[in-house]
Amino acid sequence: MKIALLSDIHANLPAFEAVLADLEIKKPDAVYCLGDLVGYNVWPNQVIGLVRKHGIAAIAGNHDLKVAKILPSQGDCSKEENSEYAYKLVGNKERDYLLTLPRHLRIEFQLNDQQLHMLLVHGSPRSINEYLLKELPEQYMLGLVKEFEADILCFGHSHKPYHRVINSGENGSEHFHHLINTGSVGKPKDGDARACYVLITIDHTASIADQDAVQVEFVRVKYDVEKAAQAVELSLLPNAFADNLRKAY
Amino acid sequence: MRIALFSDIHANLPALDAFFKDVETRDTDAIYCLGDLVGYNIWPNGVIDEIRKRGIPTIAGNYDFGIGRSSDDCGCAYKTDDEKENGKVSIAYTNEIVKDEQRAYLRTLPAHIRLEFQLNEKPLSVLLVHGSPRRINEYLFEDRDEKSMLRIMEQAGADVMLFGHTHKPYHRILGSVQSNGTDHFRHAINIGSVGKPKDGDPRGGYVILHINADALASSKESITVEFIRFEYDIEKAAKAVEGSILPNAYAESLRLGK
Repeated sequence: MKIALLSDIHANLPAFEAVLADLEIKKPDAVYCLGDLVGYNVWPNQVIGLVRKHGIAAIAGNHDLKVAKILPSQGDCSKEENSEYAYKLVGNKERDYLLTLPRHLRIEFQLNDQQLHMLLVHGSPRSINEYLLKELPEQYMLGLVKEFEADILCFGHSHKPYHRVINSGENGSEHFHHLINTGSVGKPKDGDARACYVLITIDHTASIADQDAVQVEFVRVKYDVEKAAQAVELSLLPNAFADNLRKAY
Repeated sequence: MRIALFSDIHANLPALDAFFKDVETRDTDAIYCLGDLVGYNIWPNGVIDEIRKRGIPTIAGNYDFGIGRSSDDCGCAYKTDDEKENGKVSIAYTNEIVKDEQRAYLRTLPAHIRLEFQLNEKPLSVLLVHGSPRRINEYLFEDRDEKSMLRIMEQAGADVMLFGHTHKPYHRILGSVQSNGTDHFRHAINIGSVGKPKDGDPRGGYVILHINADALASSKESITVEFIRFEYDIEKAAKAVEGSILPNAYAESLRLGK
């Protein structure tokens, strides 16, 4: 089973379209989106439309929930640069969609008379806006995967992709847990401006005792960064967001 | 949120094609498949390919579980000797024609998918299974004792449970009172069958689950279910059975919806 995970599209339509085209070639068996469809660019409704059209199962990110508090302007609109503009663009139907997304998705495998749980969250299982960075102490991450019974914990939010394997087995036994940050489709922050997503392959022999049974491949996809950056510059959004896209920070 | 859920296609490609045409007109937010892609008709590979092509999150049914492992047991509860004999033909035939790549897909399908909502800061757990949370081939019929049904859902931590396997759709609301005195409503939803209905209506069936932005387990109405039936070329599916080594009884089942 090959599963594609996309996250942090952030209203970047050119990046998302390039990833969808790449998925046509890679042909995963299932596609999930880990949230933050909106914010930072001008195409939130188009991105939501495509996610829905493709039936991609999505969970909520912290930016998606911002539309509950930032409503479209009424009367005179501000002409000043403002990051809130990104959320004001979101249509009514799209707001309903974002505000009823599930928080977590749990995929329970039973491949070999043994459970293997894959948990999809946006930030961390504890909080939608907690950053699970690569550098966090192993003890902390072990506590997290044990508390939430996650053998494969997948998340986005930091826009910095990584795959880390930790072992919670005691007394010589082995119980591997995979921590997978999917990176960001529409706003990478790891110095590589290309869109990023991840392909996870789960073999029929996959078990918690075999750390190689879960294969993780980070895919980078070229897209029209200039188009996305110029869209920011032509809008009421802060120009800094365009620089972020060009330099991936 | 409007979520389409379908299952029990059972290698019936004309029914699956008609399902996709119908669901495309319904403006849904997500689609899930609850298993039993294969068995009883001639298009198991075609059905798997169409579902994979769309990247639809799918869980394993008992027939998928058997074929994925090249087993001669689909875990089906056949009653009469005729049913048992027919069942043997169907699983042997399906094992013979399912290709390696498609079998590998069935072999690695997950058992359950759980959607954890937090609307109004309150948790609401939606569990997708094929038969029951306990067993892939347990039949949860509509007339099951209410206490037993509640216990199954409580043990699985499910506020809303969607399942297939019996090919007979229903929606049952089970009320209970929490320790703090508030009402708690659980929804048990059998989503029917796309490719082998058994409720007397030969049309294909699936559901759309509606979850309001302010859905709460304490409100009965915040979860609603739409049962959809769609026409498809039943004769094509029935004649395909008759033109194969599969027992003709399966063609008759399709024509009568039983």
